[in-house]
Amino acid sequence: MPEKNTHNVISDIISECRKFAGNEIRKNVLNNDLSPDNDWVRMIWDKSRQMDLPSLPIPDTFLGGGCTALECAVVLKMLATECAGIASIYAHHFTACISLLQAPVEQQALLFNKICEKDTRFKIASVIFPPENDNTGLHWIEQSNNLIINGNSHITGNLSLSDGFILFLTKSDNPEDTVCVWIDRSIKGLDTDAPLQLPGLKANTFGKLKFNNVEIRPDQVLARKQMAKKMFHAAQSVFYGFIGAIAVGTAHQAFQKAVKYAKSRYQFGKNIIYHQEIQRMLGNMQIKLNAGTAVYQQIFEDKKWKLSFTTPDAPLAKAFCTDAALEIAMDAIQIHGGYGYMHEYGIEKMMRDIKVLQLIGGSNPYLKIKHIADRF
Amino acid sequence: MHSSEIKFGLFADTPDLVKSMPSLGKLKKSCPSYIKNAEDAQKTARLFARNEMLPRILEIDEKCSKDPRYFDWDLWKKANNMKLNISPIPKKMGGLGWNALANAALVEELASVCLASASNITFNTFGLLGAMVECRTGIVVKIIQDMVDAQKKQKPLFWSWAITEPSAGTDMEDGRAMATMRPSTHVEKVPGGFRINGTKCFITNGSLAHYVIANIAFDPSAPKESMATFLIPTDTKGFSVGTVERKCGQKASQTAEIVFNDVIVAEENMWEPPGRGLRHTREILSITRGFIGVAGMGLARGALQSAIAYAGQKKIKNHRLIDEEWVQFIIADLLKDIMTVKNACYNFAIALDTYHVWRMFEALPVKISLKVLPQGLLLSPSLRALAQTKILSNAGAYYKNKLVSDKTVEDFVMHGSAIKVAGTDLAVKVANRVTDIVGLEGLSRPFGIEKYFRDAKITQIYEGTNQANRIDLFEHEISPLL
Repeated sequence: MPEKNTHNVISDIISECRKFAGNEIRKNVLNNDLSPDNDWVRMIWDKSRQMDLPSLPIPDTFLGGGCTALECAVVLKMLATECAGIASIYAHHFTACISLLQAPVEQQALLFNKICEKDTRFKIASVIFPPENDNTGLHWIEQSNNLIINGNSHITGNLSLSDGFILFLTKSDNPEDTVCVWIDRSIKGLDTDAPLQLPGLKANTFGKLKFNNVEIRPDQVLARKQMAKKMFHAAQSVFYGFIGAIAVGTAHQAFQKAVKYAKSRYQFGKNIIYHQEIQRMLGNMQIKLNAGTAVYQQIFEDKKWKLSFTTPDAPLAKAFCTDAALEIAMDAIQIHGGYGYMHEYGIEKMMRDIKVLQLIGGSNPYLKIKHIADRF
Repeated sequence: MHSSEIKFGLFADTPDLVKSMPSLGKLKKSCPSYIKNAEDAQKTARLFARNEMLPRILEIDEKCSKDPRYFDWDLWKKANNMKLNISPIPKKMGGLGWNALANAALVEELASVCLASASNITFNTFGLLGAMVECRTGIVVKIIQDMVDAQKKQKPLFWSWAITEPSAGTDMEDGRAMATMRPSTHVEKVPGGFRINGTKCFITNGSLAHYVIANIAFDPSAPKESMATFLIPTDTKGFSVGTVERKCGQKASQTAEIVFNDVIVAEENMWEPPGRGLRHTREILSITRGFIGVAGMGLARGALQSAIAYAGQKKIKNHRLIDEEWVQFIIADLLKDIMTVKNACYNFAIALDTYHVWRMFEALPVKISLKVLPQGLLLSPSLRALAQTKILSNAGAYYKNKLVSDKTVEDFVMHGSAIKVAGTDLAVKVANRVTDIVGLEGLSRPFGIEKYFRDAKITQIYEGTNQANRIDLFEHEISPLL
């Protein structure tokens, strides 16, 4: 009976989100792609707070949505059908929230209450991981009881939108020495680098944080060593799962558009959906969609995830989902012919968005190598 | 954006044609001037691409993002000063006298920096190619003289080839498809000429062209049998430009909708009568498809070169990104593909020089005229008047059609299709895979790599989608055997 209620609740949430995305995001998404506007994004965020979208992964003990990571991924996938960039903002935020679930309850309370307060302005969080192949950019030392951080972080999303960041610090010569801290945007010594000018996900901003003797007090330290490592792996796993879900959601929309166009476009004597080569392409796209959906969901249903909120296969899942999604988007453009390349049809935007998703968290060939190198 | 420290691609010393395609060494021994001509073209083009295009193209792309109608006249003028936009025209008549092989080198070099800007510079060729299909000397001489005159005066003279319609893309390029197409344009005979109505879309240079070569059908119920080819001056009453498209990439090249509203065209401007329009299209495609393959290969080379430059200077831990084995394997794999496609592309270009319309410049009457007549006479109105006489006009057409038969055209459509698919699939593959090397940071605009990714995709679509090109391949290579 509780399962049935939970299912109904999440179905309602997804349905509400779908309506929200269709009503609020769709009408301006192409304009924002041409001229990104943080004010529009913040307006979307504020409106979404009315339906508690930002607090979906926060436990209901903190008046959050109490949704599981898989449920959040399904919501992100659905948001991505309208705009992958907007979905990526929620993905970074959700990841920060979910990683906090591993932190001590007092720390959770401090931050979850900030996010869930109704009468404050938007509260967006983000998460910063160490770079996949070189974590020498950021240095930290212990001084008195504080941490002093210097250098440049790895690239993160929500750069200009976040009020705060969960930052995972590791030492290059000692990976066991991991610390997880909360950085308020207003902290002294913190600055943002110029955002990257990326071809996609333009609703979001990506870049590095610059640290100049940033002092972290003990109450800002969320976890150390084993606990911090556990939080890091959980956060990274869920983040890769979210990226995979967004990629699949975007590709799904590209596929739907391709089917609709193929049914109506007449060339070579018939509507092109009746040409075998188009059917083959669409069939291929469907296989990749089915597989991508299964793969990203598997992250959250994996036994290891259920036990410890982590799975070593998460990077591989992200690699598969984003590679498959890009092929789907490119084939969708191809089926549309010249129309697919024009901005007003919205398909080429999907290709650009997925290209950026492919590279978030590390490029896919490298993730495959690292996965095997780390395990064997 | 690019490091000149790594002497690959655009930064390699020229000439390197024989180095990259050793089979040309045999030709260098037997026809040294033929290879020298191409080597000179490569050197000129590479210097231009490196010194004039490279510093500007990101800024041009950004300006075109804001305004699709932006055109960089400064870059065009520099190309014009070097006659790159009239390169096939014989030297004696004021061009560069570059044959297909030399033009392949030109296209590769320019496309390695920016395919859209390369298109802006070389697209004039369509005007000449369009006239050379029937090769009525009056039309050919007039076009050559007009182009040379415009070049001297630094006045743009742009051509456009209007094939695609809102309801017909692939349908305009294939006989079986054309038989069932639903036209969006229509032409009818009126006293003194023809009246044209309708819309063409996705027309390169459509918003800038002074002349449009368009294929339009007389009878919508029998489009293939009634398809004709017209030359339309764009200052004709009733001609207008609609939307100039916002595209994913190749933004520097304007792609426009053009509208015909009771446009009246003189009788002499019907270049192909009803039923011959498709033949006209196929002949142009028999040359240009291969060149799009060359352009795709050039784009791929440029993308790889940019990634090599990035990886060569990007430090990770205590070494360079390019020192990582996985990076080296990706580079090697893509290099293998570029090398093989490049050989196929240049093989195609040599075949064009050997069997196709470039042979006209080697024809005895043409060779003698170019040798004997002074330049002043070659560019004079009296030569134009002489060329327009029926005898000469018909002689030119007769001689050309003997040199380049229908079978030659279809053979080259087939070969061109293979090269087009290979070169453009390569462009997309390389532009996509190099982003794995450079990662998120390298994908940022100033590095120029994301531009290759955005520019590449359309090459698989225009000049016949790669699916349509595959159909052509099967139809001409396998179907006759069944």
